[in-house]
Amino acid sequence: MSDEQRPKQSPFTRKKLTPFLAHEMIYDYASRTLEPERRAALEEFLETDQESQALLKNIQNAQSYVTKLKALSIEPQILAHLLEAESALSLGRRYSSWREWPETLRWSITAITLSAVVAGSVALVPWSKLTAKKTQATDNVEVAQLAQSHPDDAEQVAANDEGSGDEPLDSAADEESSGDDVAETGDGTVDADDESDVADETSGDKVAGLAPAAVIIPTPAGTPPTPKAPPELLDRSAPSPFVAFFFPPAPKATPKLEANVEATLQPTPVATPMVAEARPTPKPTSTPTPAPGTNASAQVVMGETADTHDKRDAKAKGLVYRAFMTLSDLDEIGPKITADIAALGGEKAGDVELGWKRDAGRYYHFVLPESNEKKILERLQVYGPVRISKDPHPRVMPEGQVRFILWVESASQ
Amino acid sequence: MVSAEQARDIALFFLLSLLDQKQALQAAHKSIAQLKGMKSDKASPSPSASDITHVLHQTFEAQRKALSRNRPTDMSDVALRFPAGTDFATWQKFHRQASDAEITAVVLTKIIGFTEDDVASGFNVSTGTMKYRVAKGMRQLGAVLSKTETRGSV
Repeated sequence: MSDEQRPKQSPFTRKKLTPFLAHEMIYDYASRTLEPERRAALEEFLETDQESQALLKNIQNAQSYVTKLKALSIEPQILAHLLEAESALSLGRRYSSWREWPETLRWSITAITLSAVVAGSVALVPWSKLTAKKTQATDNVEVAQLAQSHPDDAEQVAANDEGSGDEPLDSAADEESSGDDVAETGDGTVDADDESDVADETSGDKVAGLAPAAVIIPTPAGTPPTPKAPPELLDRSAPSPFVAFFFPPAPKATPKLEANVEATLQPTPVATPMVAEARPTPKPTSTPTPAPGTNASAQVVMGETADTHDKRDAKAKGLVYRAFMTLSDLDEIGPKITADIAALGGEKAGDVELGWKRDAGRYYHFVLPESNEKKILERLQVYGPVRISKDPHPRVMPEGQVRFILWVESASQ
Repeated sequence: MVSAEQARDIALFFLLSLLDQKQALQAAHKSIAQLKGMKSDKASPSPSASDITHVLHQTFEAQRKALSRNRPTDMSDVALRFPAGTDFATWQKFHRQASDAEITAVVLTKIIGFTEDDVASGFNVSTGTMKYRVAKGMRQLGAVLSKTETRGSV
């Protein structure tokens, strides 16, 4: 028989196993991981080799021994102690997450952080400056801002503000202090303290603490614009510059002295520059933003510092309207205003006549039937923008009558 | 996160391979702490068998240096509970005859139950080497057992 005709046999069957190879394979044989061919060869070898048989028996005994050792157990206390083992790395990993921190530690850190933030804010924030700024901010609140027609006009407005505060109203105080006024003719209850109080209120800067509410009455359509106004303001197609009445959070001052002013806002297509100031109100009841082209009534509240509030609260029970205008052709319009007042039943309320001329302005102190209150405003705004405020006053007017103090400044000045 | 079963395996390994209770528990404590500090996957927070054998190998090597080779066994306050019919003296004799590599290989694969591949990976040796160590250790343990049986029969 040739080699090609013989069946293929494994190399292990061709060559008899040596004891060394057999001993090395006995463990795998006992573990049942030996290949079938090798297994057959090893079994054939084991039949004749006693040393290999003893070795196989030893390994089988060892396997049964280690199988018993698998059932070894450890004391539970020792095991529990081992499970609590921690290293710096494991502790760092464990506490790397905020949620893994002990609850007491988390709350402690939170409390300390909050305390530090509060203490830092108390120590570092300049509360005195903030309080001063807040007081200033609440004293004067810009109700509406209109574009200035010309820098000179702005200066003029400022000058008029000062002038209206000092000169004419001082004169008004002088006039009122003369004792011949409407209040006295009405009920005759004005005393010397009231007169001095009136003088305080009517003296320009001294009244700053009592910032009045302001109502802007724009120039009605058809009023010729100021010659110095820039071209963009002369554009009649431009929307009304009225923005909104702004009511910031209510101050803590007592609201008893607050007075409401209702006035009709009649925006005009012609932008007339004007700046007004008002105190905030704690309870705004009117629409804060009047729509352009529509009438809107605004409730504006006056305010003052808390100190003066208490002082005036006992005295100021009446009201007085304070109006201010700036007109370019005052010599021509002044008599017309006097005529309008007279036409609506207005009478002078002091010693001086209506339209009393002082420096470059005209002074009108008059009493008017309450029913004509809106009419006089409508007539005045025909001549130009009117800034009007309603101030508390110790003098109480008879029912159905209102008192006006109008100062008209010449724009040429 | 190390489970109680893994902690038991770790303690058993050191107790059987060091035969010194104090040193073994210190090594187990150290190994468990080290395993807790290792990064773990979110899918399987417990350390893998390969990681465990790697840590056990490192700790064993460090701890073994503190112990003399032919020291007396210090297992007076035995933490292990041997099952009935198990002779601890046989293991002590095996411990004196086998090498550290063979002892650790037998303990990890045959008693604790790790696969030879995992143990080889943790010990940084080939699987064949690990198989050889296990086989040699089992032959020696069998030889110790046969001698014990012979003396018992005599």
